[in-house]
Amino acid sequence: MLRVLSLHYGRKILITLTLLAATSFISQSVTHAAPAGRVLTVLVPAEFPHLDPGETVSGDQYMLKYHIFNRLFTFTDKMDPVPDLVVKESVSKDGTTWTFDLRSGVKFHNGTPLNAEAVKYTIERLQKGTGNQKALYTMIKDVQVKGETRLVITTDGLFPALRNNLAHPDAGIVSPTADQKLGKLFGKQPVGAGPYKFSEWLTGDHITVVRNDQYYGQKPFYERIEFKFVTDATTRALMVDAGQADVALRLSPNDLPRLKANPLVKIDQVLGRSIYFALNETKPPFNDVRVRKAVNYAVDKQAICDRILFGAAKPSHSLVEAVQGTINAGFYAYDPDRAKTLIREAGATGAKVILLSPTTRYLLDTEVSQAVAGYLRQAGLDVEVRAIGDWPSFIDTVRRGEFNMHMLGWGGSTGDPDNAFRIQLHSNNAGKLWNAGGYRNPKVDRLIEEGSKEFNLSKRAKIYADIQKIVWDDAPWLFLYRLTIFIAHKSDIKDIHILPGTEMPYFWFARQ
Amino acid sequence: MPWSVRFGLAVIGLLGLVAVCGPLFPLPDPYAQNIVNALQLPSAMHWLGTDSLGRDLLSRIVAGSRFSLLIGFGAVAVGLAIGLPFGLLAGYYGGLVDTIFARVIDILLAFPGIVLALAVVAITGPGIGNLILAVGLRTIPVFARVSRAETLALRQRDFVEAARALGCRPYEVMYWHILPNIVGPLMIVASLQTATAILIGATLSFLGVGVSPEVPEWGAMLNAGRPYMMGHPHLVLVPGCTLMIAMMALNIMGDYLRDRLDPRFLINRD
Amino acid sequence: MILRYISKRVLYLIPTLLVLSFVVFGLVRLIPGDPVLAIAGPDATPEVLEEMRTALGLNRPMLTQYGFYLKGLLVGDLGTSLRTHQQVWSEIGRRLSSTLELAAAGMALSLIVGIGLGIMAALRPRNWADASTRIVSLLGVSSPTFWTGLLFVLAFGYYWRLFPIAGSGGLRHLVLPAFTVSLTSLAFITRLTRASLIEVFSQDYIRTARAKGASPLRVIVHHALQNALIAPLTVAGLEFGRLVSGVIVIETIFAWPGIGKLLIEAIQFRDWPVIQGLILAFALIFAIVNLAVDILYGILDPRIRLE
Repeated sequence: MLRVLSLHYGRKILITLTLLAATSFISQSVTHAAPAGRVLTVLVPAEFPHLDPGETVSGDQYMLKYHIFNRLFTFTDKMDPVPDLVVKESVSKDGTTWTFDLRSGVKFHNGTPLNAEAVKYTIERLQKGTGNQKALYTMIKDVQVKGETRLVITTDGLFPALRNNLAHPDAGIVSPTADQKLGKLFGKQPVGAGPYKFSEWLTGDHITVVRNDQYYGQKPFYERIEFKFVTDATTRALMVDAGQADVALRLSPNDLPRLKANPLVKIDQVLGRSIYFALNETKPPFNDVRVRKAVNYAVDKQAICDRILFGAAKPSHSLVEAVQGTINAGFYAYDPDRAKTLIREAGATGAKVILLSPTTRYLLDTEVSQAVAGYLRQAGLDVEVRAIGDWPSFIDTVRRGEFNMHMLGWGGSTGDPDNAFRIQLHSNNAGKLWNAGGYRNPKVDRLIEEGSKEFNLSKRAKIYADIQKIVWDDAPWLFLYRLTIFIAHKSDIKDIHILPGTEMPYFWFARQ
Repeated sequence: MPWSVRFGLAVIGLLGLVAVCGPLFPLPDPYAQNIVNALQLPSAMHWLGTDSLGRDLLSRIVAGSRFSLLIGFGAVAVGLAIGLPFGLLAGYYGGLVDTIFARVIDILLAFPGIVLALAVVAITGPGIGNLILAVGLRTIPVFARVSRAETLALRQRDFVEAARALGCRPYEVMYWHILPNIVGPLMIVASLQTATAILIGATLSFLGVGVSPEVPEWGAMLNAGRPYMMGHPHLVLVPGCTLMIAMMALNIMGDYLRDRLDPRFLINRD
Repeated sequence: MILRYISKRVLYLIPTLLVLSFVVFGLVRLIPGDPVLAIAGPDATPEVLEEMRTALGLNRPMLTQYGFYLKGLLVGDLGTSLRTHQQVWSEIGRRLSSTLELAAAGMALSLIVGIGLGIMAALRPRNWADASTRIVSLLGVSSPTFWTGLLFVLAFGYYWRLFPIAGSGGLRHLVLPAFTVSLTSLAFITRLTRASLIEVFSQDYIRTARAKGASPLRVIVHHALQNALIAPLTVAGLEFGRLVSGVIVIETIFAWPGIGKLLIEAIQFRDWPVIQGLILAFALIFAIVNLAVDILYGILDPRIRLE
């Protein structure tokens, strides 16, 4: 009796399991039955929680929003803002009142019209919300609707870079109807008026967007774009190499030689963010400018760029090079002896330095951190590398000041130097994350204030060049390099544009 | 002794030797970087090649053995130190103590191994001490269960009854009479748990939450070598094979001990 | 009788889960790192952070938060993700089916192949088939899953272009990850089947059957397998629980959209409700599977029931 029972149950378990597996396969294949039409498959490294313009946690989020929403202005590939939804613009004499005339007849993906009311709604929505991107609109004091397509914006004081902010990927205009209907769920089913409209989001797997046939601009080639989430860089490279995907973002430079040898794959590149180590000036040994300069001499940046990053970076000649009008402020050549001497003079030989490194946040960050530590040790400092695996802990540790140097990267998503310099160099922001090293220089403060109010472009350029020179000498950071961003795609796909500030490609001009 | 067991013993012996005497070998410093020499294939100067920062791979593997064994033995030590007395007491006294014990063990066992270790490391932060703790936490219920089961079985036996009748105090009974008899099964579990502990430690390091990146732990080395896999597979093959061989040896030993000492333990692999 | 046994075991489950929820709640809050900071980003002003905290209910005392959480649990509401503002159970549910699919496929593979190999090995002990099976199964148990996964991706996905490298989609996408996941269990089940089959072969009733003239095939299928399979099948049940936790690494390597990847992401963003929900989900699956195996074992072997 027992034997019969056991056989009975054994079989049952087997059959149930097989049926379970089989039904899963079938259901999965059914949902993935591919409809006809030209499809572009893009491999994206990191998923994000939602697509609401109010809040951004990753660059890949920008890319999706860039396709789904459009904005008053947009960026050229040189990060200059040019009109998009705006057809006529003017500024008052005192520079604080801007009048914009919008394109007429534009409709959102749900058919409702995109008019001045919608723009006003979008701006006020962000200002009232709690998202981190409301900083884009803090300088806007008032928005007036003067007709179906006319908008008047008043800023709080001079703000010449308003157009940059309005061209930012998160300045997308949202459909008021959809937002009011969906409320909190808007971020999961966004409705904009961009060249592509949102279609489907399978969390953890992919997001699909389909072509907006009512788009006023050039009609995009691809009917559908599937953004698939693949976290591992090598896997992305392998997939593109094997022809299992069309485009792969953010590849690792060590996968490049193999891809370059493949005639079916083409590699696009663009200069991306600047990577550096912020030095904590509030405590020894980096409170002494000699030690800070020494550190800059101690590291062989060219070797790091060549051997660790496989040539995917160029040593920095200034701080934060990914902004408009950047200049060559100088170069700290590799001079280990000078470094040692400087450190000895400052009496800092053997000083303990805690080096914080993120992992997998920036390209090969852990490797570079270890290399830097190695060089600093040769120069006489006692370095301890602490690698913190996740961004929240990293930010936490930085905020608590438990470090002597930590790695950061700045991309400059608006392309405007004020944004970059103010947050990182102004003494008002000393102690906050981006100026955790506590850099204070009243002369720089003054220059930053001047620059933000200066409308004259050449005067502006000079002010920012001066800032860069001063800061280069003060050496609040260990200036490292500027990364090159690589995107690989099938060689018969043309016209993929990449926005340098956010290192993000966009595909509505792409075609085969 | 079958050949496989000789092999297993040899490997473990080698591992132990290398772990203890490692620094004495005339090998380059496993932490010494040489960026210009990065990613070299095996050569006369570097028998196993160099990694992405120019460090000698062979010396890092040798140094890594120390860490792996540390994690393995450390976790087992934690498990024995806490699990053994727990199980012994529960099995000996029975009743309420036993019931409470069983509940606690159930809760600990409700967490799948890696999840628990991940959660612990997320709280305590990286570092080898925390890693040993995290992995060790998982072995505690295993040892507790085994010692409890064995103690329960032994408690009924005549010689234990006799000892108690003769007036031995409880801890004397446990120490002199029960303990020596459960050493056998415990050794089996210990050897198998060492393998599991090393594996979980390597997995956590692979996920990037185990040890600091400069530390030459095998799992971490595998993770670091992964981006270079396509052009320089030796960075991944060498630590992977070493891990596998070490695990094989430990499993062979564990199986052998089990076959010789106690054929009942077919299911309690966890 | 059986019913009482089952209900007793089920009842045991409830207090365990309760204590578990409390432990998990406290544990997760011990993880350093402020979720509001992670979500709002490093440039957020203190006012924005405070607003967020109040909106998410994070500045109420710990016990109050736990109270709300427990109340929600009883109704089946696991809370709302701090990141995506979606219901936790819907976030988990979607991914859970993917993970279960992977685990089930792995289980099926390890059972079918494992038992098959075990039978083959047991039929011809001490020759090359047996020896090679033993070596392969030893390798299977000893190899770290992340390593074999990487090797498979390189070999079968890339060099020989046989299978897709990553992502989910259809049967082809399932093969490599399922195989990797199944390897350790496969090895174990093979060894177990072989050992238990050999033991059964030496029994008297087998010899009697052969002596009575039954063909070898009938002997194996009708007499031997029934008993030999008890051990491997119950072990398989336990293995399913392990498989579900083993997928964490596999999902990372193969970009499989399951709860393993979700857990790692949630930890990265300190999304406490999701982390809690996931750990509870893992524990629940584990517990249910163990329960099922216990019950099965109790049915098959009356001695255990009487304990």
